Amino acid sequence: MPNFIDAERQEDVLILRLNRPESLNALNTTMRDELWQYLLLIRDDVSIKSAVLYGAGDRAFSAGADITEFGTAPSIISARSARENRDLWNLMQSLDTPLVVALQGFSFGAGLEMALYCDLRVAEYNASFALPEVKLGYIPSAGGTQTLPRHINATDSNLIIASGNPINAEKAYQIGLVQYLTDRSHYLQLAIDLALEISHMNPNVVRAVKRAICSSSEMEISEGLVYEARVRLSNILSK
Amino acid sequence: MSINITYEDHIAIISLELTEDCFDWESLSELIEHASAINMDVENIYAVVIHSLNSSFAKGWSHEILNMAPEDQIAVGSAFTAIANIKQPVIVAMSGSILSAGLELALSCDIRIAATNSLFAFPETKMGYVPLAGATQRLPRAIGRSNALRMLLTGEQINADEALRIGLVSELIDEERLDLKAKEIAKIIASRGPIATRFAKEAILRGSEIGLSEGLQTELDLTVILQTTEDRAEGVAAFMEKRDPVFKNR
Repeated sequence: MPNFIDAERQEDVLILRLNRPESLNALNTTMRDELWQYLLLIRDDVSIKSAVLYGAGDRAFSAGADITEFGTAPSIISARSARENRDLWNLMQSLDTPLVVALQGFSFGAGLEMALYCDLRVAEYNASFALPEVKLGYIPSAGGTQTLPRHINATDSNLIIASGNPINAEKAYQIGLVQYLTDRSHYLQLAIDLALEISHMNPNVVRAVKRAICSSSEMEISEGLVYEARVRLSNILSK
Repeated sequence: MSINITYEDHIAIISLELTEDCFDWESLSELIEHASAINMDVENIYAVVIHSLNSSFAKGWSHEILNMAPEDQIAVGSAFTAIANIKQPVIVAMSGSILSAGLELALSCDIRIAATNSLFAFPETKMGYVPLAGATQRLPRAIGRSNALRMLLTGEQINADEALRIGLVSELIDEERLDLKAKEIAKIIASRGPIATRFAKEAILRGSEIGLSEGLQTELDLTVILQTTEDRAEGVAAFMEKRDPVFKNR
């Protein structure tokens, strides 16, 4: 049984490593299945207070979906139902536990889309980012067309998605695609430090704040303010 | 009084002078009164400036508010919502420490400028509670989800340059010139068609809460209403005649 994702625990932080460096950590079916299990663990194990995601090797966080598997599903219908039964990305976006991602080298396609489901993005100076799907005649299909414009402005996200061209780390930092930029010898430690720092806070408060922020774009401000008051109240009363 | 209101020409100036730089009940009710006075007087008030007479803009909530029953705390947000609901454009000028409630008030304003010595943070999560007055909703609207997650999940303090980079403020200025600059911006806005600036604010704020097609319809409706105003006729005439317009707020 291959092991494409390694997990280790540091205090209350779960650290996940995509481990297919010879394939630039491209996401294949097995890796997706393993990620699914770890995301369930993060969702269900309340002792995990934050998580870090990073890529093995020194060339990529993840180059995206494993293209060698394209077209290998028995049928279009079974491919679709497999995705619906295990809605990996919906599970990832529904997690209240904060996720920190450390990005080195390439974060392309589903690699970048996976990072967009994380809350804090730390990149190193040589990182590059792209949603190259249009170059291959399809579109981002791990939520990129929905998540990218929620993180950065429409002008920048339109260009990235419609051109398929990569941007470098400086540009990514400038447009707010990543919130932290540092050198390669520090980027992973910075991500772990951020996750540890968050893990030392009251986990209920952290989860409530994350949920309130992430749902803020899904409702009108008046509704959002009521929601914020409600999560604060339930948080205090549950103490 | 810990919050005063004064008027200069068509500009209302709200001056904070908070006890220990914190909002208490009294200051919040004063804020609501001032917001209501401004909203009731669209005839004469075209723009608003909010600033502080203390060296720090505002650092948070009074002990009384922090220690009150949680269900009673819900009311504190209504003061900042009253500010957010002001129809005229509101400029906020900040210096020193702008923390917690101070930053939540600033996020309820339209244009944020700050002194180069400013420091901003939401320390709430570090202190173990969810922000009291709109931070989780207004911060992502102002600076995007990523930067909002960063500030609120880490509690990290950011300096003026970083605040400018992430768009939390639109301009930095030396502390001595801060109030002057805020009034300059207010004067420029007050010199434009006052109905137009109110409608533009309404269209932008409303537009960010609804779908694009509905937003475009809102803009169109407001445009049509503006076409019936004397000010629009004056503005167009002044442009054709290459002179400055004289707006009457009609």
